[in-house]
Amino acid sequence: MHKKSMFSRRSCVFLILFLGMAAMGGTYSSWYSTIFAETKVTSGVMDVIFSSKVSEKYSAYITDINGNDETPLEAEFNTTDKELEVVFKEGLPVNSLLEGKLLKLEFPLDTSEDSTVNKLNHTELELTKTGDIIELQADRAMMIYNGVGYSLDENKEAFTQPLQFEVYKTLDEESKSDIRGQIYLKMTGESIKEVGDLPTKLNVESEALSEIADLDLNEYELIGTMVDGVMVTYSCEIPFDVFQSGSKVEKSVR
Amino acid sequence: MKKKTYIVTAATAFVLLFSITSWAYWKDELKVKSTIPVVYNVEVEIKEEAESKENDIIIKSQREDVNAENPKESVEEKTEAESEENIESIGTESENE
Repeated sequence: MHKKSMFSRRSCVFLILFLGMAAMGGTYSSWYSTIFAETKVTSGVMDVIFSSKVSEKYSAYITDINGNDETPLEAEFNTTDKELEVVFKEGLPVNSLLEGKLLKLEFPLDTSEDSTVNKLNHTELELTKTGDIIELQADRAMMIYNGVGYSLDENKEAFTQPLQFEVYKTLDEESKSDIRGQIYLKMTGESIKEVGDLPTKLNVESEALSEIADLDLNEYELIGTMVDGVMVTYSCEIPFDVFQSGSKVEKSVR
Repeated sequence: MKKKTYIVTAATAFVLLFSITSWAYWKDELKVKSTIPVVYNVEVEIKEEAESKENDIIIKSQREDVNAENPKESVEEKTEAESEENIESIGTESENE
């Protein structure tokens, strides 16, 4: 008799608990709504680009032997985010380069909207150190006479030898929104010697003259502005590495 | 021993991977392309052939005029030229012999 009452009491407790749990579950499910929280974790982004805002800060100069601006050069600067194309509108006098003067290209840099790294490693020009060597390949050489371009024929080989330059890259920042990169090109002693050995006088018979017909518009305009002589067009591609401030990069020519 | 080797290899791989990732994080690369026209100071001299031919013709005609005015001188010039030719021909004959 006693056992039976114990059993029924336990059953009652179990039943009450069960019903209570069921009620709580029902209540909970009726109040529940799904909320998702999505988090993206990245290490950070460093994205430096050529500035498209301040076009007047792109410039080309012939500098003195210490890298101070001397003669401005007329040039056109075409940019995409990561690439800059410089098209010169006037010829570079080779005598300046032979005297040890440098060709300087200056361009403003910016960080993209996605970039989380905005402080860059500054570098200064140190001409006492040896720069990286770059070789400029001659694309075309022509003799200019009375504003017309003629082929060089037998003298072509002498004038189309590649030229070697030392490259110095610097980065300075006048304010947070004014970051400027510079590339300096200095002709190597070896190339200076080679240029010194080139002929300084060309005697051509009028019958042997052959005018160059396939000039592009820029070349055509260039030739029109030049005095008699020889013009050689060289092409080059220079990588410009930018480092985050505080990175352990030697503060030199790199 | 084997366990030790595995641990060292795993640690090296981890450090390498971490270093490469850090390097990529610190650096960005841009490119500058250019075509540079360099001007060499070279003196250009064009020889006009047509002009030189005209000059030759003028000189010849002037000579003819002079010869017409002084026939003696022209005869002397001719004899001189002939004698030079003879000397040359004698020289070449002797060489052939």
